[in-house]
Amino acid sequence: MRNRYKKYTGLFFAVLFTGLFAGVVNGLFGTGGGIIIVYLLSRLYAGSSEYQTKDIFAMTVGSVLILSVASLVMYASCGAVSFADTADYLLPAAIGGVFGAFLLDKTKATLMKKIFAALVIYAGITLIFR
Amino acid sequence: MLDFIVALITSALAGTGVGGGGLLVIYLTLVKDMEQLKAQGINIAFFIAGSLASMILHIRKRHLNFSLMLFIGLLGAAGSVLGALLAANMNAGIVQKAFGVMLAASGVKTLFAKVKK
Repeated sequence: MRNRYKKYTGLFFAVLFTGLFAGVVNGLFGTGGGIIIVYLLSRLYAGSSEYQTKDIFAMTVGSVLILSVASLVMYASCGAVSFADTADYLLPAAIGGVFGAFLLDKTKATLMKKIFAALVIYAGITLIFR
Repeated sequence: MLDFIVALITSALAGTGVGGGGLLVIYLTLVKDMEQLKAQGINIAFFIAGSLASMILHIRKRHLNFSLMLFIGLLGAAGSVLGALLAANMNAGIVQKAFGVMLAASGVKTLFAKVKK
Protein backbone atom coordinates (compact mmCIF):
# COMPACT_ATOMS: atom_id res chain seq x y z
CA MET A 1 0.00 0.00 0.00
CA ARG A 2 2.74 2.38 1.01
CA ASN A 3 4.78 1.45 -2.07
CA ARG A 4 1.79 2.08 -4.25
CA TYR A 5 1.33 5.52 -2.70
CA LYS A 6 5.01 6.24 -3.33
CA LYS A 7 4.68 5.13 -6.93
CA TYR A 8 1.76 7.48 -7.61
CA THR A 9 3.47 10.38 -5.88
CA GLY A 10 6.50 9.78 -8.09
CA LEU A 11 4.34 9.68 -11.21
CA PHE A 12 2.57 12.89 -10.20
CA PHE A 13 5.84 14.76 -9.82
CA ALA A 14 7.17 13.30 -13.07
CA VAL A 15 4.10 14.62 -14.91
CA LEU A 16 4.27 17.95 -13.04
CA PHE A 17 7.93 18.56 -13.80
CA THR A 18 7.86 17.30 -17.39
CA GLY A 19 4.70 19.26 -18.24
CA LEU A 20 6.20 22.49 -16.94
CA PHE A 21 9.51 21.80 -18.68
CA ALA A 22 7.81 21.09 -22.02
CA GLY A 23 6.07 24.46 -21.69
CA VAL A 24 9.32 26.32 -20.96
CA VAL A 25 11.00 24.75 -24.02
CA ASN A 26 8.02 25.50 -26.25
CA GLY A 27 7.79 29.09 -25.03
CA LEU A 28 11.52 29.63 -25.45
CA PHE A 29 11.90 28.11 -28.93
CA GLY A 30 8.37 28.23 -30.35
CA THR A 31 8.49 24.45 -30.77
CA GLY A 32 9.93 21.34 -29.13
CA GLY A 33 7.39 20.84 -26.33
CA GLY A 34 5.76 18.00 -28.21
CA ILE A 35 8.80 15.75 -28.31
CA ILE A 36 9.06 16.00 -24.50
CA ILE A 37 5.36 15.21 -23.96
CA VAL A 38 5.52 12.25 -26.37
CA TYR A 39 8.41 10.91 -24.29
CA LEU A 40 6.49 11.41 -21.04
CA LEU A 41 3.30 9.72 -22.33
CA SER A 42 5.27 6.87 -23.89
CA ARG A 43 6.84 6.17 -20.50
CA LEU A 44 3.50 6.50 -18.67
CA TYR A 45 1.74 4.11 -21.04
CA ALA A 46 4.70 1.82 -21.75
CA GLY A 47 2.97 -1.27 -20.37
CA SER A 48 -0.56 -0.28 -21.36
CA SER A 49 -2.54 -1.88 -24.12
CA GLU A 50 -5.25 0.76 -23.70
CA TYR A 51 -3.37 3.57 -25.50
CA GLN A 52 -1.51 3.00 -28.79
CA THR A 53 1.33 5.07 -30.21
CA LYS A 54 -1.12 7.00 -32.39
CA ASP A 55 -3.31 7.81 -29.38
CA ILE A 56 -0.25 9.09 -27.52
CA PHE A 57 0.65 11.27 -30.47
CA ALA A 58 -2.89 12.68 -30.68
CA MET A 59 -2.90 13.44 -26.93
CA THR A 60 0.42 15.24 -27.33
CA VAL A 61 -1.04 17.41 -30.08
CA GLY A 62 -3.91 18.31 -27.73
CA SER A 63 -1.62 19.25 -24.83
CA VAL A 64 0.73 21.29 -27.02
CA LEU A 65 -2.30 23.04 -28.51
CA ILE A 66 -3.32 24.25 -25.04
CA LEU A 67 0.15 25.42 -24.04
CA SER A 68 0.72 27.05 -27.44
CA VAL A 69 -2.22 29.39 -26.88
CA ALA A 70 -0.47 30.68 -23.75
CA SER A 71 2.84 30.99 -25.66
CA LEU A 72 1.20 32.93 -28.49
CA VAL A 73 -0.50 35.36 -26.10
CA MET A 74 2.92 36.04 -24.53
CA TYR A 75 4.65 36.48 -27.91
CA ALA A 76 1.93 38.83 -29.12
CA SER A 77 1.88 40.86 -25.90
CA CYS A 78 5.63 41.48 -26.04
CA GLY A 79 5.32 42.54 -29.68
CA ALA A 80 7.39 39.71 -31.20
CA VAL A 81 4.61 38.77 -33.60
CA SER A 82 1.33 40.24 -34.86
CA PHE A 83 -1.75 38.70 -36.45
CA ALA A 84 -0.74 40.21 -39.82
CA ASP A 85 2.60 38.33 -39.65
CA THR A 86 0.87 35.00 -39.18
CA ALA A 87 -2.11 35.44 -41.55
CA ASP A 88 -0.43 33.96 -44.65
CA TYR A 89 0.40 30.71 -42.84
CA LEU A 90 -2.87 29.85 -41.13
CA LEU A 91 -4.82 28.44 -44.09
CA PRO A 92 -2.07 26.08 -45.36
CA ALA A 93 -1.48 25.03 -41.74
CA ALA A 94 -5.12 24.02 -41.31
CA ILE A 95 -5.25 22.15 -44.64
CA GLY A 96 -1.93 20.44 -43.92
CA GLY A 97 -3.08 19.52 -40.41
CA VAL A 98 -6.15 17.65 -41.67
CA PHE A 99 -4.09 15.99 -44.39
CA GLY A 100 -1.47 14.93 -41.86
CA ALA A 101 -4.07 13.43 -39.50
CA PHE A 102 -5.31 11.28 -42.42
CA LEU A 103 -1.76 10.31 -43.35
CA LEU A 104 -1.10 9.17 -39.77
CA ASP A 105 -3.32 6.18 -40.59
CA LYS A 106 -1.76 5.41 -43.94
CA THR A 107 1.97 5.89 -43.69
CA LYS A 108 4.84 3.89 -42.38
CA ALA A 109 6.88 6.95 -41.74
CA THR A 110 10.23 5.40 -40.80
CA LEU A 111 12.18 6.46 -43.89
CA MET A 112 10.57 9.90 -43.92
CA LYS A 113 11.53 10.27 -40.27
CA LYS A 114 15.19 9.51 -41.03
CA ILE A 115 15.31 11.94 -43.96
CA PHE A 116 13.65 14.60 -41.85
CA ALA A 117 16.10 13.97 -38.97
CA ALA A 118 19.08 14.46 -41.31
CA LEU A 119 17.58 17.72 -42.59
CA VAL A 120 16.98 18.95 -39.05
CA ILE A 121 20.57 18.16 -37.99
CA TYR A 122 21.89 20.07 -41.00
CA ALA A 123 19.68 23.08 -40.23
CA GLY A 124 20.61 22.98 -36.54
CA ILE A 125 24.32 23.07 -37.30
CA THR A 126 23.79 25.89 -39.83
CA LEU A 127 22.00 27.96 -37.16
CA ILE A 128 24.69 27.33 -34.54
CA PHE A 129 27.52 28.55 -36.79
CA ARG A 130 25.60 31.30 -38.49
CA MET B 1 3.22 30.81 -53.26
CA LEU B 2 6.42 29.19 -51.96
CA ASP B 3 5.31 30.21 -48.45
CA PHE B 4 1.99 28.44 -48.98
CA ILE B 5 3.60 25.20 -50.22
CA VAL B 6 6.22 25.10 -47.47
CA ALA B 7 3.55 25.76 -44.82
CA LEU B 8 1.27 23.07 -46.26
CA ILE B 9 3.99 20.38 -46.33
CA THR B 10 5.30 21.32 -42.88
CA SER B 11 1.86 21.14 -41.35
CA ALA B 12 1.13 17.75 -42.95
CA LEU B 13 4.46 16.42 -41.64
CA ALA B 14 3.66 17.73 -38.16
CA GLY B 15 0.26 16.02 -38.31
CA THR B 16 1.73 12.62 -39.17
CA GLY B 17 4.22 12.73 -36.32
CA VAL B 18 7.24 12.69 -38.60
CA GLY B 19 8.15 16.05 -37.16
CA GLY B 20 7.97 19.42 -38.77
CA GLY B 21 7.67 21.54 -35.64
CA GLY B 22 10.96 23.28 -36.29
CA LEU B 23 10.78 23.20 -40.06
CA LEU B 24 8.85 26.44 -40.50
CA VAL B 25 11.24 28.28 -38.16
CA ILE B 26 14.16 26.96 -40.23
CA TYR B 27 12.51 28.13 -43.45
CA LEU B 28 11.63 31.57 -42.06
CA THR B 29 15.06 32.25 -40.55
CA LEU B 30 17.40 30.63 -43.07
CA VAL B 31 15.49 31.17 -46.33
CA LYS B 32 13.47 34.31 -45.59
CA ASP B 33 16.03 35.82 -43.21
CA MET B 34 13.40 36.63 -40.59
CA GLU B 35 14.23 37.49 -36.96
CA GLN B 36 14.34 34.39 -34.74
CA LEU B 37 11.67 35.53 -32.26
CA LYS B 38 9.19 36.55 -34.95
CA ALA B 39 9.73 33.23 -36.75
CA GLN B 40 9.05 31.38 -33.50
CA GLY B 41 5.88 33.39 -32.90
CA ILE B 42 4.61 32.60 -36.42
CA ASN B 43 5.46 28.94 -35.84
CA ILE B 44 3.31 28.88 -32.69
CA ALA B 45 0.29 30.45 -34.47
CA PHE B 46 0.90 28.05 -37.34
CA PHE B 47 0.92 25.06 -35.01
CA ILE B 48 -2.33 26.19 -33.36
CA ALA B 49 -4.12 26.43 -36.74
CA GLY B 50 -2.81 23.05 -37.91
CA SER B 51 -3.41 21.17 -34.69
CA LEU B 52 -6.92 22.58 -34.17
CA ALA B 53 -7.81 21.13 -37.56
CA SER B 54 -6.15 17.76 -36.93
CA MET B 55 -7.53 17.54 -33.36
CA ILE B 56 -11.08 17.48 -34.73
CA LEU B 57 -10.19 14.25 -36.55
CA HIS B 58 -8.15 12.85 -33.65
CA ILE B 59 -11.02 13.33 -31.18
CA ARG B 60 -13.30 11.27 -33.41
CA LYS B 61 -10.82 8.51 -34.22
CA ARG B 62 -8.46 8.12 -31.27
CA HIS B 63 -8.71 6.93 -27.72
CA LEU B 64 -7.70 9.92 -25.59
CA ASN B 65 -7.25 10.54 -21.87
CA PHE B 66 -8.78 14.02 -21.81
CA SER B 67 -8.06 14.89 -18.19
CA LEU B 68 -4.38 14.00 -18.51
CA MET B 69 -4.17 15.90 -21.80
CA LEU B 70 -5.71 18.97 -20.18
CA PHE B 71 -3.54 18.68 -17.05
CA ILE B 72 -0.29 18.50 -19.04
CA GLY B 73 -1.51 21.27 -21.34
CA LEU B 74 -2.21 23.63 -18.42
CA LEU B 75 1.12 22.85 -16.76
CA GLY B 76 2.78 23.51 -20.10
CA ALA B 77 0.88 26.79 -20.41
CA ALA B 78 2.38 27.94 -17.11
CA GLY B 79 5.84 26.83 -18.24
CA SER B 80 5.47 28.47 -21.62
CA VAL B 81 4.81 31.88 -20.05
CA LEU B 82 8.22 31.57 -18.40
CA GLY B 83 9.82 30.31 -21.62
CA ALA B 84 8.36 33.15 -23.69
CA LEU B 85 9.56 35.74 -21.15
CA LEU B 86 13.04 34.18 -21.32
CA ALA B 87 13.00 34.30 -25.13
CA ALA B 88 11.89 37.93 -25.17
CA ASN B 89 14.60 39.02 -22.75
CA MET B 90 17.52 36.98 -24.05
CA ASN B 91 19.90 37.99 -26.82
CA ALA B 92 18.30 36.80 -30.09
CA GLY B 93 21.61 35.35 -31.32
CA ILE B 94 21.84 33.14 -28.24
CA VAL B 95 18.22 31.98 -28.63
CA GLN B 96 19.00 31.09 -32.25
CA LYS B 97 22.14 29.12 -31.35
CA ALA B 98 20.32 27.30 -28.55
CA PHE B 99 17.52 26.54 -31.01
CA GLY B 100 20.16 25.11 -33.38
CA VAL B 101 21.53 22.88 -30.61
CA MET B 102 18.03 21.65 -29.75
CA LEU B 103 17.28 20.90 -33.41
CA ALA B 104 20.52 19.01 -33.96
CA ALA B 105 20.01 17.04 -30.73
CA SER B 106 16.42 16.10 -31.57
CA GLY B 107 17.54 15.13 -35.09
CA VAL B 108 20.26 12.85 -33.74
CA LYS B 109 17.76 11.31 -31.31
CA THR B 110 15.24 10.66 -34.11
CA LEU B 111 17.91 9.27 -36.43
CA PHE B 112 19.16 6.73 -33.91
CA ALA B 113 15.89 5.99 -32.10
CA LYS B 114 14.77 2.39 -31.98
CA VAL B 115 11.59 2.11 -33.99
CA LYS B 116 8.63 0.55 -32.17
CA LYS B 117 6.30 -1.47 -34.38
